[in-house]
Amino acid sequence: MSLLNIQNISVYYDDHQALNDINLSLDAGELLALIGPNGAGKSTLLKAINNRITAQEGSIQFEGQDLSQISNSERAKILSSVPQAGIIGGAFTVYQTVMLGRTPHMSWLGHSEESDIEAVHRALHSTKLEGFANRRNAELSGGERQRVLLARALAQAAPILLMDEPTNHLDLKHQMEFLEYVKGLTINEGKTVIMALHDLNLVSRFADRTAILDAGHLESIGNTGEILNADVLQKVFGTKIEVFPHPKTGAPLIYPSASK
Amino acid sequence: MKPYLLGILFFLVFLILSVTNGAVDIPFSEIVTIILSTLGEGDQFTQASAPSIAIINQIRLPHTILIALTGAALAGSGASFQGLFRNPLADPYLIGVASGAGLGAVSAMTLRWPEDLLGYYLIPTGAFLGALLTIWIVYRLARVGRIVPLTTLILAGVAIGSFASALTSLMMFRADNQIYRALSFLLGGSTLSGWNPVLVALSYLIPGLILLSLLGHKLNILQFGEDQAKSMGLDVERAKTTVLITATLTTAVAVAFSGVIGFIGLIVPHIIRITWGPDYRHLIPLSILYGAGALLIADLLSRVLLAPQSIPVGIITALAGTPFFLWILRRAKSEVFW
Repeated sequence: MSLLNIQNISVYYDDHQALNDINLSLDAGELLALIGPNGAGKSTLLKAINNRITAQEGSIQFEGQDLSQISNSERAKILSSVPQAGIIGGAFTVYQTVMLGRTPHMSWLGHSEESDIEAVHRALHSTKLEGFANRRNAELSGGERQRVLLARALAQAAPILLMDEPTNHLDLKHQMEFLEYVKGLTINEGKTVIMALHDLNLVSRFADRTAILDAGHLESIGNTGEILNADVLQKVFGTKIEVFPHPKTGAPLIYPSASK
Repeated sequence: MKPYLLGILFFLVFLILSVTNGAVDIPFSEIVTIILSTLGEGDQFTQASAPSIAIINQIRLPHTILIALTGAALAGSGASFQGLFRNPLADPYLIGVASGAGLGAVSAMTLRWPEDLLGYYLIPTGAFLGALLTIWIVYRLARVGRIVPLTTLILAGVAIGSFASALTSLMMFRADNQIYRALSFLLGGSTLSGWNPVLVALSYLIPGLILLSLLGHKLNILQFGEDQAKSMGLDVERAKTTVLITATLTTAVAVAFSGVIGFIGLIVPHIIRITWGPDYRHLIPLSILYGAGALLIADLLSRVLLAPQSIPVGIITALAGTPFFLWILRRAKSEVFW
């Protein structure tokens, strides 16, 4: 049985259908990329999985358990999310921010136990943020802030991580560092990651499988190397795209060659 | 622990100054004797004069405790509103809650001037209903999508607050025999004396302020936005409603017994945030502690500045608060401490 089963999910905003009958399943340790043009429904799908918006049709199950039927706190032990790094909670220190990730494991008052402190230290250590523990979020660079949000999600200790354009504000080096680290989480710790990404070459480099969304429906899904082909991408993105195999690895390299 | 110890020291100093200062000069030793005797620590009333005993026990002590409670309630609820709206300017006065509570309180007074304990309970009930209605209207008006921006919050708060104040004035105008009492109430001059208001206020504020202090962790999570708060496992709607109702209740009780006093709920939490950081688990209890001391200072000034006449304490807090408000407004641009 798959870890996460998304069955026949449809979402409507008033009379506009944002998602149309989406079916997906994920195994433990997988990195699934969601791609598609703006407005294709990538963010909506992530929000529906995380119960931020309610899908009018269909169900999302974790190990057979319907995720819409459990409390926020129980859901937060299964799903954590890494948002885009904006300045938010700027006055809080990195340590305080990461500790908040322990909320679903804490009592009502938010009192931290030994196990919470250990989890925070582990998360800070593995994201190389130990030296930043007492720095305020507002003082950090975009790359550091993104690592804080990742550390917070790791402290939350959920098996599935949802990420919506996590590398948006990062330069190339930090994009690579971030994604290499996330990839490592799937391989070494068996974390399952669903990530919306715009950069198709990064998708090609890191995603095990890729789902292409177009106007709210699932255009295709499969192994990244097979899915990223010029015909499908040109159709979905409405622009001329050439795809070459990487000379060493054979992974698809995506080159947008003309807008029409 | 240091901020708490300092806060207790700060509070005690102004508590003592408040009890020892007044129109009638009573020696410090006599005050101590009276208080000890009242507490049952020896029978030494004979050494104190009857008027002194009455002044201390029936006027100064209940007044001081009521002022301290009011300061604690306004600063604690101010800090909570700021956390709830994620907005450093969300003072109970500026967002209209205090004026709404004032309208409710005056309505209750017009209905029945308090002469017994039941009458005293009617005022905070009226104030709570007035405050709750106001915050609901202000919140609805100020909300843009899913957030409550600073500008719309203050604009809606000022508009609805002014409207509530106008209604209050109209009501006082109609009930002319109580106009003086209600007017001085509105200016933040406590018109209710004796122990009854203290007892009623305590019965609301002890549970209210304890609950607000315990909600710090939830407010911390809310600082990261509702979406992230939900992802971290918070039941956002329930947390927001609990904070909103508790903070509104504590504001209403403060207003019911001490009138509309502005800026304490703004200044005190702000200074604490700058000095000891934004962690609401400490920000709220510290605001409560320092709020009590801060309003005692304002009250002392109001009694000393033009002695023997005393100025309504709301005038003092507004005089000190307005420049402070402008200073925060300038700083808010940097947002670093928020």
